[in-house]
Amino acid sequence: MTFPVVKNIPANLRTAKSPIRINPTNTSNAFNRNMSVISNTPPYDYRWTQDYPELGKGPVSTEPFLSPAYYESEREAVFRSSWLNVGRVEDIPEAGDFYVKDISVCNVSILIVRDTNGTIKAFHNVCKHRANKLVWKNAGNSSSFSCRYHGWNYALDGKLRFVPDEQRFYDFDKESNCLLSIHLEIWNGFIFINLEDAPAQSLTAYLGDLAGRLNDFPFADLKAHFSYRSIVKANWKNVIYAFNELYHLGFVHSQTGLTSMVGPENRYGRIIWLALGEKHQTISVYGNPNHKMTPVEGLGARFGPMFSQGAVGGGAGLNPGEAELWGVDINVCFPNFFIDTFHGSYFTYHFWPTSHNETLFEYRHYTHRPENAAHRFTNEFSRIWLREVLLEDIFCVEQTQQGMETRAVTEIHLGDSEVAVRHHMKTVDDRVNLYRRRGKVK
Amino acid sequence: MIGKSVGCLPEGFSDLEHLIEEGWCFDLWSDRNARRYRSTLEELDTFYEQVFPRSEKVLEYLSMVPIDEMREKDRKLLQIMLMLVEASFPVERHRRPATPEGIATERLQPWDVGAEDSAA
Repeated sequence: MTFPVVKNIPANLRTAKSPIRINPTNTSNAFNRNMSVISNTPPYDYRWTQDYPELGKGPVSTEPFLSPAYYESEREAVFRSSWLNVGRVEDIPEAGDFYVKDISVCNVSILIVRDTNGTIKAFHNVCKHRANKLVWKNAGNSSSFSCRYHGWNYALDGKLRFVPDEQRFYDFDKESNCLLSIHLEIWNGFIFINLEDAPAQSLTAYLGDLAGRLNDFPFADLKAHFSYRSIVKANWKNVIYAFNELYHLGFVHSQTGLTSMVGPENRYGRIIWLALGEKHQTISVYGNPNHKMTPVEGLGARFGPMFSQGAVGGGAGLNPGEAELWGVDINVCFPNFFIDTFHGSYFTYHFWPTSHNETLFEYRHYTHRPENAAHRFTNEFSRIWLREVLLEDIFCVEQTQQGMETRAVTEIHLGDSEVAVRHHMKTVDDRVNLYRRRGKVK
Repeated sequence: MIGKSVGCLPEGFSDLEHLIEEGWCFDLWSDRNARRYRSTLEELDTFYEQVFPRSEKVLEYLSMVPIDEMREKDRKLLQIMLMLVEASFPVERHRRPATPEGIATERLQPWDVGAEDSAA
């Protein structure tokens, strides 16, 4: 059959420009350094790698994707010494709301709870009595937490309230047997935890320029609409590196219509604006102004913003490089958390390693709650479109892992469009090397 | 069977009622995906050809229905449109029911109670 021709889709839905507002706090070195260069207009031939000589330009080893010993070092050097995002404040809006986050790479089970004062706290989800896991449910609401084993009961603020038959214990002090707390800080509604004894940096200092670029984005107005989770048989970095470069779009996703982000001005996913910080990254992605929507995609675009809409211009907290043909910003919060910001929506990825060659991948989509039933149709299009894209990405990265595991190729090549891959690899590697030399991270 | 779904859709859309009897309406996204995968491309094409020409009118109607005030009839009509989204990928892009060179859809599961439409 041939595609029905879509009519009545106003051209401005594909090319509508939103006012671009630049956050005045966007004063990273990378920002200043690049603004003087004509880099954010076609043909996007600026060479970003030259801005970061410390990253090098040569091939890199595949060992970090394969070695169980390297992974063991990453557990301490990367994950136990970073601020890790574990959700958003809207996930637990009421006093007593809680959820449990098991993070196997850190060998930790975390209970995150909103207490009676409305303060969000994090505890090791382990009872002080016999070290049983305290809460067995994934999420819920409770006025207190009782261990299922022998009924020890804790208040929402972690204080041990009641021990059955307490007088049978010897020299026992309830006061000093609260739940063990975990460092928790919140930025822009995002809940982060840190497993260091004393965090080396506050969350604000840790986020640095990344927070500045995103501060004005309307995160609080957008609601979690749907989520996906998958176990991926690949090293966590191989999974990440399918999501912080666009070079693969025209190949892996040739059928799923990522022509919204590939076009005649930018056929091979060149970066249109970039900031690589000490740890974090923002990569602005080209939007094709002449993206040809499929018929059903075109219908969806009439009733709300969609991921696949092509060039839209920007908005508050978006498009920090003022690129003309802009579609999305990929914000990579080291080590494993992505915030991809679109016009009218955003999504998050978390990449949680479960072994040296397996990753728990989590995806969450945030958008305006649909006002009407047609808007729900539009949201469904973004959802299914993203799902199709993820099916392809995950299939591909498992092939990458299998290819690497043959060790036929032991060095890989990274082009200028993959400079963020190089940057993340080096950020990890520097920490691993420091940890191995000193036996500690800092 | 025929006629069982009379009056199941809002006024003006009775020509689509046979799709309910033919099993194209589901509460859950996973059921819509399973319907796609157990259909032939020809069946998906036929569904698409029946729904797409009516979809502009349907969406204009649904755009007048606030999300919290959907009646059962509206919900059924929306479900036909959500199935159209699922069917559009094999029909408009892949030209086969499954996503070529993709992992099985069951490996990508909704997981999050905080996301309100995760399973719907």
